[in-house]
Amino acid sequence: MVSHGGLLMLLATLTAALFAASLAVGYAPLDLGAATGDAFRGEETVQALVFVELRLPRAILGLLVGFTLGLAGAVMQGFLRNPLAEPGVVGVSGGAAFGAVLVFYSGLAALSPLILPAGGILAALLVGALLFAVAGRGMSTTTLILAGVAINSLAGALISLTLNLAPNPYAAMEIMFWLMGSLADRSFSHVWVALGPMVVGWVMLLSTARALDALSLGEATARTLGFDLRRVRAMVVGGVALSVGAATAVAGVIGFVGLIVPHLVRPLVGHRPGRLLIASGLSGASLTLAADVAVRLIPTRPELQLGVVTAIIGAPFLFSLVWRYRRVER
Amino acid sequence: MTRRAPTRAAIYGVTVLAALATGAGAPRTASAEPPSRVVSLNLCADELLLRLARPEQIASVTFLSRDPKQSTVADLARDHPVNYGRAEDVLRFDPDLVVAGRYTTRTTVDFLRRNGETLLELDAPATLPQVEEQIRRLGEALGEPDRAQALADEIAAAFAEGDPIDDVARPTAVVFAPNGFTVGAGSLVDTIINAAGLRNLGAEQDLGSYRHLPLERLLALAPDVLILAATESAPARAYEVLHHPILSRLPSQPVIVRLSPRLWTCAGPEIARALSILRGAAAEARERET
Amino acid sequence: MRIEGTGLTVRIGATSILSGVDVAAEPGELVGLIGPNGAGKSTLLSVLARLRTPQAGTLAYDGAPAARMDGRALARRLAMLAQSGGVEWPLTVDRVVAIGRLPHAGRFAASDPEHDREAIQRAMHAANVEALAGRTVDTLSGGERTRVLLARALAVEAEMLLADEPIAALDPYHQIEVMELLAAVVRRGGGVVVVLHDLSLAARFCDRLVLLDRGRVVADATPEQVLTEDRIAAVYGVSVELGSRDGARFVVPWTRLRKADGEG
Repeated sequence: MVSHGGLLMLLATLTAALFAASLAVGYAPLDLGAATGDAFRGEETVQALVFVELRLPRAILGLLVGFTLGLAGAVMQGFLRNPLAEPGVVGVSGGAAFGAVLVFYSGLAALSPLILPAGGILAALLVGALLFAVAGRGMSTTTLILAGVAINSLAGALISLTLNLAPNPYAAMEIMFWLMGSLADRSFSHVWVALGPMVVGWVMLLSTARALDALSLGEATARTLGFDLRRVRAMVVGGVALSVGAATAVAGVIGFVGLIVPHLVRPLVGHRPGRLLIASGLSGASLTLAADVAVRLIPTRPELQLGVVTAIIGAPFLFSLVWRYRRVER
Repeated sequence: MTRRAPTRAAIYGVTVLAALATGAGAPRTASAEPPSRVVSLNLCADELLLRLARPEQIASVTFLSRDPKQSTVADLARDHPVNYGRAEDVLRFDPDLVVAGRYTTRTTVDFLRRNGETLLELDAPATLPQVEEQIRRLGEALGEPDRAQALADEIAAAFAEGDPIDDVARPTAVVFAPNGFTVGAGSLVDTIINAAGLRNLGAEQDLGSYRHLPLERLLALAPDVLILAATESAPARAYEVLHHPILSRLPSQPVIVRLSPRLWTCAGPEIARALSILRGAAAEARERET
Repeated sequence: MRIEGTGLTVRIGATSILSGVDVAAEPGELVGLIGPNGAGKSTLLSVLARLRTPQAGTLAYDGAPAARMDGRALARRLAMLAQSGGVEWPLTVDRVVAIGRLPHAGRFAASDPEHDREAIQRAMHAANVEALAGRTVDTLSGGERTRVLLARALAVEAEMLLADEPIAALDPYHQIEVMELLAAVVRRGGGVVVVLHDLSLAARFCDRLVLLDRGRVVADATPEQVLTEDRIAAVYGVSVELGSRDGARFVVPWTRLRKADGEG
């Protein structure tokens, strides 16, 4: 049996390998060696430019967004003690997308590059607060999923409404980006604008590790073990809002990553919610990078939305979870 | 039974006679008089209509013609009622001629055709002769053949100007439109680019039927002229790729032209303006070469 | 740590759960909280563990107001074995018990891993679950799981242990086993407050019984003094057969004296 440190090393290596693969895949042949060499020497050849301005920000964003989704999924599942919890399923991602859409198409986002992620973050915060208000203290699976369905439906409808009301004729067709996500043609400006909130969000989420371990024994026991659940909830809602809000604002909704990855990794960490966090983040990064590579290899033009690939893997996976759950609940 | 049959026959006969008398159900033949209530269902048709017809002939143009970002006849359109391309809109004006595009407002056009309206459908011209022919055809339908010919001549003259450039010296060009689409061969844009003395690289690449050009391939093409074809009104993600930082750092340092697509979307005098802009870019590109 | 509640009153809406309850517990004694369903036993235990704030009355830890104690400090001195003893994930037994050491953890890592390991070993030994160390909790029987959760509570090495109906779903063997474990905790110097339904086990193992009825303390004394036929009839509405064996009293409920709750 691999030690935890060993597992993290393995996952980090996998992530690094897929990061390299993401750099190596694109729409024009690129000699990675020559490109990196040129870039280091400061020579602005076409190779160096494609590498630095197109491939690198795309790969970095894939890494950051994927880590965010894996981490947020693990934290939500640990905190809600519910294996179906995930920012997409419960409506946080959908809400964040609506916040970003509102801010973008109204022209507010043009005032400052930070406004776009801010829109996503605020909306995600509202959804988080709403979820806890609606679902109350004991969140059964049914309540959680229903709340998520309601929020996702509303978010989708509002996004559609906003896009149709937008004065630009392209807007209506852009719904596919927002609801299915994409990392195409991203630049470093997207990376800088999302990096700050994401990292702060990660810190908040990682701080809940021990509380999640305590929560395996129930809320009462966790409280008697000295954990202030109000503070933990604030860290969870705030951390998810910051990281997932910013990620969704620059990449759209990429579903199912936060659902699949914790499940696959949980047995490898002995089902301990605290240890799952970083492992899940790295696995989320790996999955997202792999999907982004696939999207560039599949010969559709323009390229497929990222969420299509994650949904094709994720929806059957979700269904298998429901199937398994059904047998348990009998 | 036998007694009712003649009654039924009589009813049929009277109905048919009445229909023939009122002319209902029969297509209205174009009268010798020029049309006096023309409705246009298409932006390109609007632009030609507003230039060729007498103002009193025009019953309605589309709402798009009033948008200065999309239309080249925004001021002319202001004096006329607008329609939204729907059948009810059209019938409201009781037109004697409806001008529509071949590929838009299909359901409305089908309805009108069944209703017996006089229709003129405009195709999307791809070559200069096709442009001239379309202008002439509309002019005739409107009863303004001379005006139409004058307009066609004006455009042809603009295209005939300038020395013919041999293939060897042609600078390369790529059109980059919102969402990263480019323009292929066999379109009006391609014709204009060629007439300007440029080589349209978008026509030479294997880009699939949608003509989507990924940024990486744009860089690899290293064009001498980069034509950014967009008019940015309200925000849209479609424009983001046109603002990617990499476009301002292209190693081939192309001449960058920003051109509003409304100049070359439709057959009309504005294509001559697009042509002159591109000619200027071509000249600049040739200068940089030397 | 001495836990002392005075005049504790808890209301939910218009319903009174606890009214003016005075109760105390400290290391060295095994206190049993008994009473009919709905008497407020679990609520009282929650209040003593500072999981619930009373509408009136005071709670003191070692003489100082309970609210003033830092949460983590309290967690090191008071451990609770909650009623709904579920474990969400299929964790191994040793990991479940290790959770009991969380109140002692430092900022980023365990502050004394050696002591933690020893405490976990001791707790598992005391609860008799050493042999189960590598098993996952979802494969355990009810009795085994209760002992594992008890080991978790013991791993905290707190002065006071509060347990809410720990033996309710167990067979007689395991019921006696758990009560013996709790008695051992007291012998080692801890204090235990346990909510019980079984009057015989309460009589046999507890040093003191607090009898609650409809939110009020009806009796607070030794089992012999509290468990009389008249008092049991008045509070529980049943007639009982009392006896003793090996110096301990046993109580066997016999017939119902009231037709329905609330009468008599």
